[in-house]
Amino acid sequence: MNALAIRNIQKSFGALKVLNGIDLTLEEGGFLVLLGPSGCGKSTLLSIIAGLEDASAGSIEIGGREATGLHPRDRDIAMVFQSYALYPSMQVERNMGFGLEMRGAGVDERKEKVGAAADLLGIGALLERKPAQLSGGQRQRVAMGRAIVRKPRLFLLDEPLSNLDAKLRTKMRGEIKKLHQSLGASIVYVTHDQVEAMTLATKVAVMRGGTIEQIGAPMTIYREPDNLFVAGFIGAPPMNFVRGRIVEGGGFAPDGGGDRITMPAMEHRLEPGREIVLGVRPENLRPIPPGVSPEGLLRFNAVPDVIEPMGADTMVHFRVGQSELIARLDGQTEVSGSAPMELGCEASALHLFDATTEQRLRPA
Amino acid sequence: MGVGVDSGRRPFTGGRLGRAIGAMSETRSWPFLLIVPSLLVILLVVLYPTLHGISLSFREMRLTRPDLGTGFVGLRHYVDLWHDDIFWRSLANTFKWVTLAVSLELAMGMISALALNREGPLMRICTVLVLLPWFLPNVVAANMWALMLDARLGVVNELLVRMGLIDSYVAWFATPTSGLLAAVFIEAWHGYPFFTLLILAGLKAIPKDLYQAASVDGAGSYQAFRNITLPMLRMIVVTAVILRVISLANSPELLLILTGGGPGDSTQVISLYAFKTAYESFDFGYAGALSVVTLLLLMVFCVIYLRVSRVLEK
Amino acid sequence: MAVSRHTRRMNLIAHGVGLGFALFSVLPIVWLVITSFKTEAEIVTDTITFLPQSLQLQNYRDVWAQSNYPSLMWNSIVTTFYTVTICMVAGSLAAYSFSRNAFPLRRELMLFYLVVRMFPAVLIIIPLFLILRTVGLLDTRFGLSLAYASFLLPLFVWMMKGFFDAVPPDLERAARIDGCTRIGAMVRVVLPLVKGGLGACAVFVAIGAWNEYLFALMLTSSAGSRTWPVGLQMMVGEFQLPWGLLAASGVISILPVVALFAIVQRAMVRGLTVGAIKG
Repeated sequence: MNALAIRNIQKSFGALKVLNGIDLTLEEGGFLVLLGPSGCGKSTLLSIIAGLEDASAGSIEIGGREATGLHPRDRDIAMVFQSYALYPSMQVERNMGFGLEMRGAGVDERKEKVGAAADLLGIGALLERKPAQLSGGQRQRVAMGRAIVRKPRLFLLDEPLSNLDAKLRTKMRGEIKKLHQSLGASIVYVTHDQVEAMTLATKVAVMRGGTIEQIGAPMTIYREPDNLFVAGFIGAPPMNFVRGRIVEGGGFAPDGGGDRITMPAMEHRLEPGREIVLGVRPENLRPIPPGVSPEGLLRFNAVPDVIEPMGADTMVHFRVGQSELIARLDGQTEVSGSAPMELGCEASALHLFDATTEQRLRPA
Repeated sequence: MGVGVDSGRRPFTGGRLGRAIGAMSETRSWPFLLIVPSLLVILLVVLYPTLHGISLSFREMRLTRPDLGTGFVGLRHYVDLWHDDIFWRSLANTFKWVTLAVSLELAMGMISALALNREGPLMRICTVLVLLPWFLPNVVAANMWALMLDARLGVVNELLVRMGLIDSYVAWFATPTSGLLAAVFIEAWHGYPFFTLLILAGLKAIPKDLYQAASVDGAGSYQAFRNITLPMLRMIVVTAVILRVISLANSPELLLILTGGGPGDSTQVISLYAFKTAYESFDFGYAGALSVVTLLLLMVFCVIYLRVSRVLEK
Repeated sequence: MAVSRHTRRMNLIAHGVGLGFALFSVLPIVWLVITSFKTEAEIVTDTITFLPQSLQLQNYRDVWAQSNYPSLMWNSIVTTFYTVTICMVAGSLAAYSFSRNAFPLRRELMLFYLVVRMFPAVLIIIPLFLILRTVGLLDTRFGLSLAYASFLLPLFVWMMKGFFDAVPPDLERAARIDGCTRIGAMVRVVLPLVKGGLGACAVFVAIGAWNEYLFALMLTSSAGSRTWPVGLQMMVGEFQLPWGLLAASGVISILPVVALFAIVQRAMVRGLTVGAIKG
């Protein structure tokens, strides 16, 4: 059974279309991340799932039950807000138990369930405090606690980590993953941080301009991005792109001049004159020792502009035609100043996109 | 599907009425429903009376002369007004009264706010004390000052004589000029805290690093005031002046209590003339015409003033 | 070093000026209080004494026992109570709606609430007199409080909107998820957070209604509804002025104003400036 199934959700504010027909399903116990830049409609979509906003068209099913038009209270969901939205006038205990209170639960039941959730999150000692007396990390935990107290069908998390500093964010990311596994809960999680998406999700939906660009398992999206936008959004540092055209004899001429590049043998049908975008992830580039010319590699002649040693890795910036590229090399690699070097990439790790449609080119 | 938490229990909403209101709050028209009560009150006690008042200015309506009826008289009140010496005098007085009082209050408000804009408990207490007159009723303020400025018993006269500023007690409300000036002075005492309050808030909102940057650039305190403080305060000063002009032109309270328009019509302003026409002669039609003229003049003032202050900004 | 000496001198001048304005504001009120403790003979004299010879409570006793002042005060209390109630109920709801919802004509409506302050009092008083007379509310405390709502309600809405704006909307969203209706979220979650602001706005309205003179003069005529400002002004006779009585009743009447202002001055100052600056 699906924890969530939404069909053709549309939303517009006056003439402005924010969501153009979104279809999604999330299986029981799954972790769906809605990923995209700000303004892509991911938060609006979450609000619609929560019932805080009405969709202009479309339907929502939560836990196999029709939920379109239902009050948020009747959808069997809980939500964690980016701002945490803890009630400032109430102590932590009442904050966490407020949902139960509103549903008519007795004092004892509330105490028991709040206590259990607090123990799980390690905030048992904070129950008497007001939100103003808590640190950022503690508030985040209380917000999580308020959501899990009610054991809802579906958890909705709206950028829950973006108000934390980098160190705490990494820690809480791990805890959310652990919670997901131990509770077996179904979660929809909104973020603009692709690292959170990669590490947490069982399923990622990359959104842009009110449309889902690609949906699938994180590694699938990483390995086979459907289009230029997804390819550029997933991965850090982002994928390198080189625009150019196929020339007679299977070569590739980058726009704006520069050396012609020999393409390795590929299953794609690439007729000469076709304009394409070549995509190479920085981590797929490796140095080729001088004098060696292995088969099946795409090769760049690179003159390093900037070299950034980071310990485990070394980032090498170089140019091909008009494009600036980054290679992420092993930290042990010897890279020196402006000495030219040859960098190669396996044909299997090469991404090809149509220059006009920006869609991935698939083997014929 | 008994997994849900609700399990048949109704949400706690408190009583049948509470539930009904709660259900109403979930409808689409809720934002409007919230406004309805206040809108009803305002339509009933402001908009309708105002429109009614405007229509009265075109009709005969004297409570003391029911025999005249309440017929439509066209522009007759406005024609009468054109030939009414008291109207022209009160128009001139209104102009003097508002200009003098607002300039004085603005100056006092600006100086006091600049002085009070410091840290420390002493200035905090002083701020509260400075604001006090504004919350004093006109009835008390006017009578209090009437006693202090009294020609025979006034403490102000006594102090001025002792300081050697005047030779003998002055009857401030005996001559037109001193009468108007004394009234303006009392109004300023009563009203300047409004400017202090707003300008102080504006000063507190100016980022401190602007001044640090200016002093690093070698600007003196006068230059900093001219180039940072004044521009940042412009919006607030414009707003405060408009609000104050409106309330000074519209409300005759202080003058009604203090001078009743005297001596010799020197403090007769339009709003006071209109009120007395309504309250003493019960000539509602003519009083309505006087008020409509006030409203028109205020609207013209607001438009011109906003335009000018916007031009000055550029 | 020159800069620091200059700054110190400026600071000193500022403190002097600030103190001067404070005294200028307060001394007349102090004089009123002093006068209220003097005997009539001390007030009406050729040689002014600054301090009373002894604290005379006779003026206060006379005001309380021998005039209708207690009933005037009671009328004022009732009228003020009605006004505050009207503003609190109707005004808070409207302010909340303006603060939280983007609906068509919202800007225009808010502007309308502001513009009504431009209408001359007299222009409103005359028709109000006729309307209240028609519906039988002329010369009643409730009718007067309705009239007060005409200028206090719009102010209340603007001030209160500022306080509501300071509450993050996510709180109501969270409350709705937790099971509240919209009105439930407002009452349970938002109102406790704007208590201070609500109190300040209520006090502001209360002071406005308590002090008002013009509407009261026109719209009330009998002892059953006359408020204290009108009553006090009626004590001012044509010739001999009962200065001691006037001073004592003045002090009694401004006492609640000063006390309330002292209690909520901080929140009220904030609300006033927010309302005025945005307006």
